[in-house]
Amino acid sequence: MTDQRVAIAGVGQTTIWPRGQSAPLTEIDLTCQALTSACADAGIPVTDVDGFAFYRGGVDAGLLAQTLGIKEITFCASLSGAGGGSAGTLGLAAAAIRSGMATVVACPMAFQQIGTRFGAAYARDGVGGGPLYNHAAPEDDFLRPADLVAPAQMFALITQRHMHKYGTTREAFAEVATTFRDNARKTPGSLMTKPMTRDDYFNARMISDPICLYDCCVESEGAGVVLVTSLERARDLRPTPVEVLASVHGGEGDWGQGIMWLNMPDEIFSSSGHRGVARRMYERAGITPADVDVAMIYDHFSPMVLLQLEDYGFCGVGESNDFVLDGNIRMDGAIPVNPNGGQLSNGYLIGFSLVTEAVRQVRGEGANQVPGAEVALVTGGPAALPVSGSLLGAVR
Amino acid sequence: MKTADMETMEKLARLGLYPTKDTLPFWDALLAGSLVTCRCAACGRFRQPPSGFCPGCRHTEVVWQRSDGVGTVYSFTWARHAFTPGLRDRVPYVIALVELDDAPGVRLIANILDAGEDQVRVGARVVADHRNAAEARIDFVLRGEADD
Ligand SMILES: [Zn+2]
Repeated sequence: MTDQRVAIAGVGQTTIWPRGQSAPLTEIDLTCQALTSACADAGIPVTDVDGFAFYRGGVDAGLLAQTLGIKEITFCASLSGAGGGSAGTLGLAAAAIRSGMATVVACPMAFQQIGTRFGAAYARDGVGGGPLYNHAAPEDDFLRPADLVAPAQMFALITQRHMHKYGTTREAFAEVATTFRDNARKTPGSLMTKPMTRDDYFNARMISDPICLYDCCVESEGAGVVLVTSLERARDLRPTPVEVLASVHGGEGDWGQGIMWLNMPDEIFSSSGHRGVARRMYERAGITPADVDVAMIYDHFSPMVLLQLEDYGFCGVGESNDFVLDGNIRMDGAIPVNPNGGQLSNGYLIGFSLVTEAVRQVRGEGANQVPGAEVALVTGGPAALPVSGSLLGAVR
Repeated sequence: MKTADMETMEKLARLGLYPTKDTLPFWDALLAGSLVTCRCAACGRFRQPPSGFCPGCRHTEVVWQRSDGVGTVYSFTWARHAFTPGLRDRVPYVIALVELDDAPGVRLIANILDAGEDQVRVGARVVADHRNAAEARIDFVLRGEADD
């Protein structure tokens, strides 16, 4: 039997700009920048790319092909949903490679927020927001009468329940925010580099209790691409291929649309919606949370880092408050989280800057490197299904 | 569709709501100042939002059950930042998830009116308030009795 393993042979990422500042570049420019630099990184001619794996709709594949002179597309697919799929595109790519449908699959994400803000994603008055509001979805009507318009408010509801149920405190969210800020300061290109103390955190204005300004990721723009191919080919291309140990997506039906539904059963309500994905991911990779050296955890809102630490088994359900406050997510802790500063402080590319950083960490090339990291976890956004998670490993 | 339903749909559209056959009875009742909940006619399971299929048994017929509007706050947040210009006069306001006593399994996304800063908490008892029914708002007020 041939080697079924797949690997990441190249990675590319643009500058991350503050919201509205990547112009006059267009989204297709950003994508092509990241894609050509990923190809250069891998030593693969751009014209050899024959597959695309997207999430949240992705970039127009035809436009990409005609813009870059791609010879032939043999695989093109997108995970449904939104930011939940950011870690799962690697699994789509792996499936394409293993089945022989493609030989080099690019996983691109490009993101601009011109004329629209994701902070008010579910607003429907259209002024300053509303990109995710769906007029054709009668279930979304139930968000309207209470003026529930923002992801920050939705995650506040989940967080508040977690605090009630388990005694979780804002001290732990402050630990997440300040730890990631410290990490961002050690990572060139980070958007948020002013030192942040615990006092700074508690002095920040409240957005939607208990979520304050510094619990929210920074709205930004940019693009990233990873190139997935067979491990055999990746080995020939570069000294440090990164194996995709497992990449899964989906989630338990009881999570459903999650933050847009808010009628999940109590057992799963105050979670990240990732428990099913986490279980399958570890099973497929044949490893446990104890084997993970660095975790890139989707941090659109800092409390959701805690809930994912629970769902990915780094601590028990309801134990993340103490786990975080014991210093476990710091660079010298049991499981360093988001050494690049994450989406809270480095920049927000709907999860993809976490994917590219996971690759760099396993290669040993992180600007703020976790020493000796060989296995990295990267998660997709706690969001409507599908959510996703991936494990990447150094090839020995 | 009946003429009365068409009128209701038009009225709701002006409020930014676009119901279907499955959700119209809820909004229709709300405009008339009452709460109804959607229950499977076969297995009795409640579901929210109302939809065309029971997630428990896949049955499609429903019974609309009138609720007395008494419930408990499951979770809440004080919305303080005005995410859109239209919300500048609204903040701060309380967004709450309310579980109804007489419809287990239904959690309504609602506002809690007239509440002081420290009065809203998880487990607080609330009752539906229909002063803004014409705007199809789902509102509750604190009931002022202790719970949990
Ligand atoms: Zn049923």
